[in-house]
Amino acid sequence: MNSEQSKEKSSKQSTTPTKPLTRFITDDANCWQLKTYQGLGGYDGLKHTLTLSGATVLDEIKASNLRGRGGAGFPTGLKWSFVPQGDDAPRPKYMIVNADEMEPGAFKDRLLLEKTPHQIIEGLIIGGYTLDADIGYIFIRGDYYTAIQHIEIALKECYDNNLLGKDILGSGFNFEIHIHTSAGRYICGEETALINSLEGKRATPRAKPPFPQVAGLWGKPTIVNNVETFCNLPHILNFGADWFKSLGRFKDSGTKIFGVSGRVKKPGLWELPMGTPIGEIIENYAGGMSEGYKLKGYLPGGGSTDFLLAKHFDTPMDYDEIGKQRSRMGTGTIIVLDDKYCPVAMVLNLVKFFAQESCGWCTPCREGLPWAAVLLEKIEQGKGELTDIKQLEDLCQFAAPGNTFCALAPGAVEPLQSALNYFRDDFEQHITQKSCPYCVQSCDQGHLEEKHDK
Amino acid sequence: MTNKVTIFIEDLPYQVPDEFNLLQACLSLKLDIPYFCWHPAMGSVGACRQCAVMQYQNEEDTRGRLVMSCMTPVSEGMRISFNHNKAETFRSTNIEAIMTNHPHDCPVCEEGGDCHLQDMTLISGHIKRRYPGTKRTHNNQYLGPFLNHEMNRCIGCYRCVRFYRDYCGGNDLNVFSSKNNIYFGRAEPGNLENEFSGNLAEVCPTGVFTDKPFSQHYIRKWDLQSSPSICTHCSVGCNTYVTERGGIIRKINNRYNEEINGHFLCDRGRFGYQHVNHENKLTQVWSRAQQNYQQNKQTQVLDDKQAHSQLTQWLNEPDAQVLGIGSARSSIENNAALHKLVGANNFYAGIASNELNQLKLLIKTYKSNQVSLVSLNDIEQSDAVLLVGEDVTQTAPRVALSIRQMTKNSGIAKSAKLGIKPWQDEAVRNISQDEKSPLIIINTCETKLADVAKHNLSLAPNNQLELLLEIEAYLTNKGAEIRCSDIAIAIANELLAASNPIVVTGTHSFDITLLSACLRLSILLKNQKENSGFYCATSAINALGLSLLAQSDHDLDSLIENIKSSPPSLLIIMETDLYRYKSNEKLTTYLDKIKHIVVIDQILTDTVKMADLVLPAASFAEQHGTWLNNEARLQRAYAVMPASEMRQTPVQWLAQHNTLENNHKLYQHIQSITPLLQPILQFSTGDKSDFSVARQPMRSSARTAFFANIDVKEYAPKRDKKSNLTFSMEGVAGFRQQTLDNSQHKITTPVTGVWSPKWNSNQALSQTLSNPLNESSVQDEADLNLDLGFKIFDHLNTQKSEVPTAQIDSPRQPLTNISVCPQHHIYTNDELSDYSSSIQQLTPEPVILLNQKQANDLAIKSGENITIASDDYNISLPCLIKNTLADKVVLIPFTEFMRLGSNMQVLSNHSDINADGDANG
Repeated sequence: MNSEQSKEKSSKQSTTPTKPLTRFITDDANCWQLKTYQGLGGYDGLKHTLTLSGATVLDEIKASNLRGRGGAGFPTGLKWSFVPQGDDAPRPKYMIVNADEMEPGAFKDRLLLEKTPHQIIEGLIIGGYTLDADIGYIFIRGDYYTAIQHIEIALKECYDNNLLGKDILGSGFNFEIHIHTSAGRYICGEETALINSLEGKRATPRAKPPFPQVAGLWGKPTIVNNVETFCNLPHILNFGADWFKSLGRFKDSGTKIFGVSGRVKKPGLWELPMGTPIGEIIENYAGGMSEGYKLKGYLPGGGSTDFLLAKHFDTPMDYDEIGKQRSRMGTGTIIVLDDKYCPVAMVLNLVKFFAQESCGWCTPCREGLPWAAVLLEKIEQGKGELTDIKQLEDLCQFAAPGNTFCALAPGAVEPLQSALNYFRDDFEQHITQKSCPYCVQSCDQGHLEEKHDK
Repeated sequence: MTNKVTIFIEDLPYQVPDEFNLLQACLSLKLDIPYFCWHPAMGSVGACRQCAVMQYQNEEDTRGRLVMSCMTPVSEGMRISFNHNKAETFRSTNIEAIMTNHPHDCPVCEEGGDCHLQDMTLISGHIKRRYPGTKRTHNNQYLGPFLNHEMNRCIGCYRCVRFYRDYCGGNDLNVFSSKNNIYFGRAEPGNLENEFSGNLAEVCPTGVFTDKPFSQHYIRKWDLQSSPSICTHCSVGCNTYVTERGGIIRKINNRYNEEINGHFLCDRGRFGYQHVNHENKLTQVWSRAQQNYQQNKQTQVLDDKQAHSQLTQWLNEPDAQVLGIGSARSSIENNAALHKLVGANNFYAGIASNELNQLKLLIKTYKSNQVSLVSLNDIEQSDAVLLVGEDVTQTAPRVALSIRQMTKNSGIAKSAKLGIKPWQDEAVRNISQDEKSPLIIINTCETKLADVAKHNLSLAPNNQLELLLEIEAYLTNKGAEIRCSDIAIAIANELLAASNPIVVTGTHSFDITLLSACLRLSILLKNQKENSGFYCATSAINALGLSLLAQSDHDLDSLIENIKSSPPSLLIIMETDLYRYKSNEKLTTYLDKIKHIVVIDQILTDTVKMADLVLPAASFAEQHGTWLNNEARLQRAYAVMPASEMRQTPVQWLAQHNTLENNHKLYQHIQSITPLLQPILQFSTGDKSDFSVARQPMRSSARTAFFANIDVKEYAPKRDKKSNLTFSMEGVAGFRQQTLDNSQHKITTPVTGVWSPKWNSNQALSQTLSNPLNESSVQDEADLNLDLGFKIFDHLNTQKSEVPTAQIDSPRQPLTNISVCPQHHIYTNDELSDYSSSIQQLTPEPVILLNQKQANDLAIKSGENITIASDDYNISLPCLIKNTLADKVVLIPFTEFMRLGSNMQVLSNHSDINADGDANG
């Protein structure tokens, strides 16, 4: 179908977008404000939603096959269907936007938070309407100053325009949204730790069951989803589940914001269809490696995913396809490792980060990660022994999924276990030659950080 | 009673109770599953990850997955493997990780030999250290006189904060920081404020929190003698293990009794033992008697024989008139011995009249079975508590902990609807949030249970009574036209909505009308709800037992009247410090009228100073004794050591004089006083076994060296003729008795310690608790379960007797006068625990409490003195303004309240406003 035909066909809804998440982002610095947002069709999704029943909306979300964009990829519709409905359901119910983006290498939510706060709010209201929730929270990383300001203004705009509060747009639906700025712990990205944090408790994850959908914030039914997940909702409601499914290039539906960081020519973020092959993102969009560097490997979904190699370039960025290569889609923000940076130093840096961010609740994470960091440091400094590698492998097993209270430690050891697999020579070379074989540059940086830390 | 499910462990079937989690189930099967964060009373949180096992979907599943057994409910047909390589590797790596920061200081650590971490490290197979890094270190804090703090040893199991905060409601201990730097302590160094802090020494699996008084006379666990005992510092009767070496009590440990204290003691009970070691304890017979009455009194030390001949002489003087004062802090046997000696008419209870009257009323009501006497466990299981007129945190502290647990039941029930088991602690708390079972407190002052109470009412005594009568009226004539206050209706409805509401009160208000009102309310409730209950804290461990022996009106007040009019020739005062109850000057003049005063006591009190003959009495730790706690539960305590020097039990001192030469005659006498105490016979015969039981835990090396500083000779250990226990390691090691359970030579002596193979710390209890194999055997002997004690009113064939004729005055008009009420404090209320130096450090300065409005009325400022006077005594103490106090109430220290007696008047210091006090007496 050519473009003219498509314009004709959807004369009312304008064109069906191919990049819905970023379609409101223009060159205008103030494009995040309500006027621009509504001018470009913002809140149409909400208006349409308010004409439907909650159950119908939930069916539409289920039909769209939307999967959570926070990293785990759990089907959103299915997750939401566990929330008790009906008159005797506990009240109030809560919807929470998880905007506590702290994953190393991830910066996709920041773009959406700063540039399209109304898109998030609209998604949140739709979510609230779907599950007949009463209160929404936007739990946002405290360092995202601009985003916080934009959201605060956007919320005020909504209250001023009857998009929030009592009887939203005359629909009889009431919904409040509060913004909560996080004090800055990575663990708050774990949904139950986030809930504890909101309650004013220590940010330790909660035991499940009960799942938050049944007993979450203040013991009431609660949904926590990622920023990007909520951003998809207005479009699904606006253009339909079929349209959404048609966006994906492989099995998963919709688009996603992918990013690349590292020594590539054009690091950045792009909204691309789900299922876009990894190679295409790195080679085409990020422009390939910078002059003089070769690709050694990359973490496909941020700091807590397993390394993949150039040979996996054809793998589509689809939850299950990446899983088949024994890594994870994660946040979809790729971190590229070049051939001149020491993989041991990189893994050490990551493991230290996660050890630092452990909440201190369960043993494998609290004690296991610092132990791994000690071993990696020893190896990086050229003081390692070959048995240390075995110990590191043991520790990766130790912190495997299911062994720990939450997913932090299993994620933390993913780069380590895959580095031990793919870059084992590097580890052994550190040990046999009793120093780091990479240029002084990378090691020194590591050591500088070390001193800085102390 | 409980449903059983079959689970398969290594493909073998086992029957376990279905309410258990997998860890509990495996422990009860005596499987050595290591754990740290789980606690039988506090449930599971899944933090330590040490209890991992493999779980399989079904018989075909060969892969399995690792699960934390503490977080996994048992289910029918469940298949698990404990020995699977993957599970074993995980557990050994886990303990290795836990140990990365733990210091290797076992030889200097007080937990050594009594350490759950040591046991678990060995069980989990961690022997060799691989971790090459340095250990994190922390600064320690001063936490008050009860506990040491050594944070470097911490393994981060979180049990301390879960116990202190979630279980006890304390808020001055917390976890700080994060990652591997977590710190368990206070925001600033200082005294731990909670009354149950001492339990941290037992709750902590390693040596972070250890018993501080114990460190001052530290002995390794294997060198301690231990015996099953009863705490004598309040009326609850918690079960304890008293430990001793060389005639010194070293520490008190909790002894599990599912009906009373469960796993926890209060700090008064745990640290109140130091009077036994006190420098002022009496160990010799002192005589100051001269032939010429009241001349040249000089103290001389007598021997046994002289003492007895002196006593014989006095008892047999022509026209001898002998009176005896029994003691609420002495055993039933001791009181009975004195009772026999002086005769029922001359036996006076060593308690004030206002208390004895209350006790008599209680017994009368209990006999009629119109109220159900509940245990602490029953309180914990109930769904509503009305707490009237008694600040249990201060007077019977363990009760407060049980009431606190009761408030959680509503949240537990709410969780159950979501399929969450009660032991899923964190989930239950997250679901419960602020949901609480109703606790209604009516008192003169806000208490420490206020944070969990639904209604907190601070009222003057007469207003309390009015409110109770309103509730009673509402419950009696529901729907009829009664004018009730909204609050009375609200409380009545809370009680009606509950399925087993419990009325908790006490005798410490010394207000019999209030107690009668509580009893009547409880009777009314029981008529409407069979499962409702009643609990009344009394003043001392054996107060109820003493009141069974003493006749009505044979109390201290009538005794004093008696002395005033016709002084006896001989007064025998047993374990009662009269100066706690009566004002100094007057009492001294009365006592001076008496020709001979014999005092049998453990410690040098003011009363002892008045004696002509002092007979040193054995402490609770040096005698076998039977005690009747406030729920009328008979319990037997065993001596942990022979009585020191010349100390003897009052029974022994009096045996030559009262014709009760042997125990059998003594128990016959007790029965002749009241058949209610007949079960006491079973206690004296109940611990007969084929084997004697050792008080020492196992064969240790130090025995023969114990007197090496005196003599190379090996002295024979003293013999204990009155029980089945030995003062040595000879005999069955106390904790091994249970291994003989299935043999024909069953040992019924209560265990002298907790132990299980490989489990050397108190956590060994987890392996013996609720052991499904043991359950059936216990059921057979329901009539006499020595471990739980015996409730004398439960098995009574009652003839429906008349309703107690508690006369309740018609509601008085709100008084314009001020009520003077007693103020209680956990560390000043009990006579003997006051001798503990650690407790003395926490004793508050005596003050008079009142609220701002009251202070304004009296034109008095905070800190200024208030004088309170009665007929023959007055006190003047600084006042402290506390706005949680009821109007028209001043609270004065408990002992001063006792001494003032009736007709109290409040005199402010600089004005002549007189307010006639209502002394409730």
